[in-house]
Amino acid sequence: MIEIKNVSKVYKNNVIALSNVNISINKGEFIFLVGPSGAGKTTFVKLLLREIEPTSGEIYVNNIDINKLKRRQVPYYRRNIGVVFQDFRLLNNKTAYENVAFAMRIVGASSKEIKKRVPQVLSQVGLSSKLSSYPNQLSGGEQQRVVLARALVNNPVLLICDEPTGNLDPETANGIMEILDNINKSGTTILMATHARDLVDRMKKRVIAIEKGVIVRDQLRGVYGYED
Amino acid sequence: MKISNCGYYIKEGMKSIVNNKVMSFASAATVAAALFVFGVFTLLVVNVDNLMSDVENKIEIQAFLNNGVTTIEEQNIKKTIEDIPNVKEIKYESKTDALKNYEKQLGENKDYAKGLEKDNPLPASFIVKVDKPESVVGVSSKIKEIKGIEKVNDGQGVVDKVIHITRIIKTTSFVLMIILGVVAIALIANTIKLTVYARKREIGIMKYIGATDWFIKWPFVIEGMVLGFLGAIISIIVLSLGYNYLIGFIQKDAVIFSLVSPYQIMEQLLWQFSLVGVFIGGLGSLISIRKFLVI
Repeated sequence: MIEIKNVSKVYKNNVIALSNVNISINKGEFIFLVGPSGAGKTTFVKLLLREIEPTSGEIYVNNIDINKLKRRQVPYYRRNIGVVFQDFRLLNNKTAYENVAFAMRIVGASSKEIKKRVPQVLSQVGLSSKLSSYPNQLSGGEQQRVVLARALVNNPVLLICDEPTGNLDPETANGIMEILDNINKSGTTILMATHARDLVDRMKKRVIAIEKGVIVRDQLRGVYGYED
Repeated sequence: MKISNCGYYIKEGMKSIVNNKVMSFASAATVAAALFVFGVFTLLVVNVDNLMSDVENKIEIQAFLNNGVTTIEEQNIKKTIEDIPNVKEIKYESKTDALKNYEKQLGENKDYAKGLEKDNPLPASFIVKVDKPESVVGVSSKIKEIKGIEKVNDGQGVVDKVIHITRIIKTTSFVLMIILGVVAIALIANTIKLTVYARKREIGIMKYIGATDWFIKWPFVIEGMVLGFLGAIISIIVLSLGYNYLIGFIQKDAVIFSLVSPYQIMEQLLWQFSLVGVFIGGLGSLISIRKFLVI
């Protein structure tokens, strides 16, 4: 589903973020992206979101070369991808319900569809009772669940998570991982950049390790593999 | 623009105005202040124009004829004057007419003119109107050279002053309006940029979840247009109040000139300012938001 071919990214200040990366990801996989800070994980995520373009190489998502997309086509591409960030990124002036509904409105869903689908997704992440709470009335874990609901509401083919548990305590993080696992089991491909050793070791999923912009390890049912 | 999203755009734009009260007020006030100053100069120019055309209509050259000029000579003089370029209209005032006018001018004291009928000392004259005030000097000097003309009265001193003053006012207003226009647009764009900057994070989030640029822009543009419109209304209200006050003040104490009626001018300004306000507001939003959309 995702083909990354000979991708390199050199930033303007000549920092080499990624060099000659090749990865192939199949539909329905759950992949951990690990590596020290500054290894290139965030660059990787940004490339997949088409926030930046590679200096060389090609990235295919669903057989589309995403770097050939025109600027105005990018939003439509992003609608196939759910994103979850470490710092949640919810709209603070909207309730949990409205935040999720907003993602549907963007893709042009009707009010009827929105009314039906939003409570469904929020209950999937265990937030049925918090529909009308604003982000500042929710705990970190709850906010991240809203973000997950928002990422899922349009049935993305790929869910990209950049340190989704980075700001959460271990117990809350476990809850989030449980939800992610369920999402993955229902067929959504998940790519998760993380520093959470425990989670990676426990889940036994495919692990891709990046160091200094180079892929140093790509193993099925892998472990975190770094000393803290 | 998808019709189904129209309601959403308008709702979001309005919500943002209410949620960011201080910045909204600042934006509207900037537009209002700029348009107000613009309005002051517009009113000034309109009134100066009005005054000018008033003066233009009143300007006439009176050429008095020598006392023994025959009717035939009068006809020749009339022809000669008519042939001078820039002459618009020529009217003959006989000695009798002159006396009648004199009596009219005397009003209640017209008894002073009694007895003059027998040996009327007032000369006959041609009253000449020219096409524009600037032509007075040329025409009157040509008339002076005609044989049979005793004296020419062209009120030149007054005319020169009026022309000079109106020219200064118009040029200054025009220059100031241009400078102010540029300053105003910069101020407005800056104010709107602040509101957009305050919501940079929000815009970023929208981009990440696949919002198109226009989906993000529309609420901002509508917000800008509404604020621009509000600013225009505020400036019109302040201008009307001020102008009405000024008219009351001037009409009580001075009768030399009259101001243009406020109703006719304000109605025109209301349309123009509303359009300009909406346009500046919308455009300001568009310009300010552009660089925040690159994500």
